[in-house]
Amino acid sequence: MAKQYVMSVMAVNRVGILAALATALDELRGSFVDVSQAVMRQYFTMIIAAEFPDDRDPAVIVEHIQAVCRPFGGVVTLKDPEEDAALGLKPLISLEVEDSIPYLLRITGKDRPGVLRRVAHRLAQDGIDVVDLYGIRHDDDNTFVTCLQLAVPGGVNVVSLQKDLAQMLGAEELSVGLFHDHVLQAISQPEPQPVLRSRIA
Amino acid sequence: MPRRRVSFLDPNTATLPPLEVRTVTLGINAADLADRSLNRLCEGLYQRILQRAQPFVQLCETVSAEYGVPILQRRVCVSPVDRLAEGHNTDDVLHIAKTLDGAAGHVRIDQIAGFLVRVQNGMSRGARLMIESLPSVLAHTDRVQAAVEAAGSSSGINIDAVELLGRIIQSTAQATADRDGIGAAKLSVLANLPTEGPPLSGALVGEGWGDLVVHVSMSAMGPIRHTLEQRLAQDPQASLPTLAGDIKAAAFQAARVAELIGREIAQRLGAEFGRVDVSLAPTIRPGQTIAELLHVLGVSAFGSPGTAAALAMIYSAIRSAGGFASTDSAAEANVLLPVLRDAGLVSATEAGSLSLEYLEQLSAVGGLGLDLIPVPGDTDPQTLSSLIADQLAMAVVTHRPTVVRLIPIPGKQAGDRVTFGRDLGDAIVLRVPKAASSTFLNRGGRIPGVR
Repeated sequence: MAKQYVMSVMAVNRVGILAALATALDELRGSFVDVSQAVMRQYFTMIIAAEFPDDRDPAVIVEHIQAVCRPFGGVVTLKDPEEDAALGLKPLISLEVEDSIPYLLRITGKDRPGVLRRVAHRLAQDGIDVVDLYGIRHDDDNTFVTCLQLAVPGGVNVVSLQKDLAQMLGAEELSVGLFHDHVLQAISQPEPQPVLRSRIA
Repeated sequence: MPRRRVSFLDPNTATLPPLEVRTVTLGINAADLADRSLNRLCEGLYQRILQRAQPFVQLCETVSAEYGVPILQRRVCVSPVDRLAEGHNTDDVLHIAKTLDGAAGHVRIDQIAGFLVRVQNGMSRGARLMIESLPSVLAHTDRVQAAVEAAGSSSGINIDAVELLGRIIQSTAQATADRDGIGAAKLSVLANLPTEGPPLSGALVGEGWGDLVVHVSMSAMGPIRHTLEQRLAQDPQASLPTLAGDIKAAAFQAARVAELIGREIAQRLGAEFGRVDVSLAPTIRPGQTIAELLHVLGVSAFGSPGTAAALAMIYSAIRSAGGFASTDSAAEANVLLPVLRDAGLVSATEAGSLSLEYLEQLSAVGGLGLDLIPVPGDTDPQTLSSLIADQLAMAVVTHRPTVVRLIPIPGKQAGDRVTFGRDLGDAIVLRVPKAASSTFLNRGGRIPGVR
């Protein structure tokens, strides 16, 4: 039997960090299930869902990876999804939920404090999950761009959501675009769009 | 597992082009409503439009909001109005037109089309009656668009109809003199009307469709400009093949979005999905004009040498993009050059770089005829007919569709400014060369087609 953990590793970005991490996982007889890596400024960051033998102590996993990553100044955190679930910390929603629809929310304009906070609060009102988020501030003209990938539960009134966001941010001259995932697929993939047979009235 | 779309999510690597749909047109079949009783016919028409168009308008709003893609214009096209009007007199035809206009206003659609007369081969008594009713129809309605197909590559040009239309256009302008002759802006003379749709201005929805069909038109001006500006910011010396590729990619995206939205509306409405019109047209958005697009490409003024070459490059790119984007793209793509709707073309006429003669030539490189051209109010009907005949002749020879919409502006001379407001905007009245002789058109009959 194997047990899954979710870990984050953050270290100074230097050649060899990924090799060291993969070696540590091999030594612990662990394997990657899902992985996402990014370099933020000078730091290498990785979020890993990994499987380990059932009897592997989580403290040993953290200790071993930490030791391997020490030359890179690595910091490791580990979470046990089963343990969190037992504490009642269940995720609200995810893209696996059948009736959730992926959307892209893009906000641009002058950088102002509190924009993300207010947007996140409005999204939370409808139980909308932020699945992915990118953002950058341009210091030369004090503007920012942020893109959020959303999982919108079925039944959410997207029209009202759009109006609310436009009203909330439009007054501050921020531009808001909310795009259905089908639109992004249609413009980025050469394959023909699936054609459903219409019900002829 | 969550899917990652880094190319769209990463603000550093990509920005989304401005995506929107130019028009969505609902075609309604009303052939079964033919009735000798005018009241029953009009009541049936009114109810049919309300019943079909109300959910259509609602769906346009819902789908547009759900997908985050604006729809600039919603239109309805009822067919076959000419057959429904057969056997009725001119007053009855006006009543039918008012019924269409009233229904269109009730359901809040921007235009209602289908008031089409086809006379490319010959003119029946009913067709003549409909044409003769146009000045009154267009003066007493706001949303009705009318069209007369007077030529085709196989049929040739019906000169009798063209001669009549010169007088009808002048009368229509006079009938709406209090509104600068706006009635004439709603009357198109056509050649080589695509039989399967999408509808050219004021024409039919296409033949061989069922009771309900949804056609869409892409809005590519914004995405193309956005893409070109991004490319030129990175590489100011970008070559023409590179820019042509960029135009093609942007037009592909615009056509794909139009198809997606059109199919969704058709699916929810229980209608057939028709055609995606991949023609390039200006929009009401600032900077979305053909003149400004050419300026981005490096043509200093629209109408100056190099304009036709640049248009040919755009025409080639949008045609290929449309064909690849959708199996249901329309057979013909055009570059629409409506002077009244295109602020860039107005500036070019004001600066003197664009003339009527040059616009005529541009139909050879994808331009769609002489569209929404303001001409002096005292232009005689014979000259109007001659201009129409010339443009139809080009379409007959090139086997391409064409639209001629000439607007004599009462009381205005060449160089005067005219303001229509709403979606038509301002324009400068163009100089028109006077027809030297009326003998040719007066001979009447039909100029044979080109096989």
